[in-house]
Amino acid sequence: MTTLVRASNLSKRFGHVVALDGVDLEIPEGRIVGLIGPNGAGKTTALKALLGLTSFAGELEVMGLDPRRERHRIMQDVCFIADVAVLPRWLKVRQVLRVAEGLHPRFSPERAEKLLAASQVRLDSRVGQLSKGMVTQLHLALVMAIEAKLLVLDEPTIGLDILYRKDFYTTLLNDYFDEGRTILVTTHQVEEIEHILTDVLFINKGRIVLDESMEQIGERFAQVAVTPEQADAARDLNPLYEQDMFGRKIFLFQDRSPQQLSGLGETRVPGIADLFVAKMKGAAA
Amino acid sequence: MSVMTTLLKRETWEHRAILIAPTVFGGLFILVAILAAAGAIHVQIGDGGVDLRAMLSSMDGQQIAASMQMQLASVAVFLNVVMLLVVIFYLLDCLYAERKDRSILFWKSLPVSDLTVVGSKLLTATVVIPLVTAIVFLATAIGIYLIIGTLALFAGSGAVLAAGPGAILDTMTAALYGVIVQSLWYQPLYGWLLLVSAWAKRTVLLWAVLPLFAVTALERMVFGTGLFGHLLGERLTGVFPLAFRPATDHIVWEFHEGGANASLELVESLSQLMDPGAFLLSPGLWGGLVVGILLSGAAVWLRRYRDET
Repeated sequence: MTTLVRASNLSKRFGHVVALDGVDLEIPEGRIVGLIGPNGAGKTTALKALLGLTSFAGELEVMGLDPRRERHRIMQDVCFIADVAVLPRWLKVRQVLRVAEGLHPRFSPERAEKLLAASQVRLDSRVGQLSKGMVTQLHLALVMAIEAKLLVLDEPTIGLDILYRKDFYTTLLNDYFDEGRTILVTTHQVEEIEHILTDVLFINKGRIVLDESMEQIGERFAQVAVTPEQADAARDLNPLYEQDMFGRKIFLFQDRSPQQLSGLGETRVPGIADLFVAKMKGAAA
Repeated sequence: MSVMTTLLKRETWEHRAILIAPTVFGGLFILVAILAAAGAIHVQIGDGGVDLRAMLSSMDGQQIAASMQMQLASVAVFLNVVMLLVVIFYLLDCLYAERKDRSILFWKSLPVSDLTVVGSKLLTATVVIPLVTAIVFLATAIGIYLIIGTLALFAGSGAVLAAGPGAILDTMTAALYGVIVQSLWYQPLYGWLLLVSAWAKRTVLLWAVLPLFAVTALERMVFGTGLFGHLLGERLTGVFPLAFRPATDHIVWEFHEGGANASLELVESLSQLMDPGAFLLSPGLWGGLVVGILLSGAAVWLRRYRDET
């Protein structure tokens, strides 16, 4: 399997603030990776580093190229959406397509027009006149008409209605993603991307605190709802995190065998959001 | 479409003043010519104060051509001022607007180098806007020629129609030469405006002007000299005295009849005044180009490595 992105000891500071603190990561081809972290954790800085939009220390390779020196070559195989609000408002939709056609060698205007024909977006409208939902549709059409190896999304649905947010990810998964494509997405709205991810990267204070595939998460992490009487027995197993819910204690365990947990209650795989809270709070404790 | 063509098109889509401003003023000149022609006809029929026929017959072909050149040259000079204003405001806005509305993130998501992008903006200021202005001038000149030529024909003289094409060609040559020498001579100023546009967080116009005054004042206070101010003045006003030589021969036309008295000193041919040799040999041109490249290069560097979003 080809590795698209390889970073080792990636670091970046703004004055005294450490944005990235020795990040190591690898992103193989054909995955949908969620880079998840609280605000200010370093998500956007990491993305910007690999898109060549910011300086950094350490090693970083994107498709074998150095983003510091070969940015515009990398961008031939990368499609990047910062958030949907950055399309120039003065452009007409038709002109957006012309620009993409003229500037991106892997853009297919026919495909984009076909996709837009199925949407509410009219080719003669100016971007500034479109509703947020329509701008999202336009942006999606652009993305899906570019044959990119790596799609980078930085909080792509920020400011969108929940209806459009769901549409955005569903379309991406159904009509865009295949084995040849890789998607790297950051968000702090974990729930809305949970079901499409194949891999999860948690980042906090500039450090990667979790780097697992979804299968591994299912194997390594377990959540158990325990009656208060059994809480101490559960605590003996050294849980990652505990919380109260409806008169029960919810414990989250890492690397405990099913046999160890079976006596406590019903186990299930934790949601990414719960795991995220556990990891972040656990790290703080 | 090639990358550069697309980028240049994009500039005219964003900055519509590039096409609109010269066209509007060219159109105004045509309108003025039409109104003047209508006025002249009216005067003829009404009180007959100035006899157009007598006026025209007092001029020979050379005088008619020279006076047409003078009229067209005044149109060219006016459009030239419009062009410079369009260029200045375009350059100040071109790298600033994309940062202000954050669309720079969209442009940076496309596989085009910052050198190419900034290059397209400098090319727009240096070539596209002057070219648009030159084309508008040509169209305006032809329009004025047809209006005045037709008017003269009604007054019984075909001399204006006959002299026109030569006069237009000659003025057009001088005007084209004029915009080319300006584009080259002003490169350091254009580079400076690009740099300010790539750098300033707000009030670009202020940032473009204030440092120039500040450096001039500082130099006077610290060294008691005025070198920077002198260089700046030379840069702003020095191009035409350098690139054109003063006219030596004049064609004089005098007209006295009834209450009308006119006396004009005309230049036979504007294009004969062009002095490309002196311009190309001036150290100011080459020194300015070097400074211009450095300043534009700094703008490219800023757009590439600045991280503020």
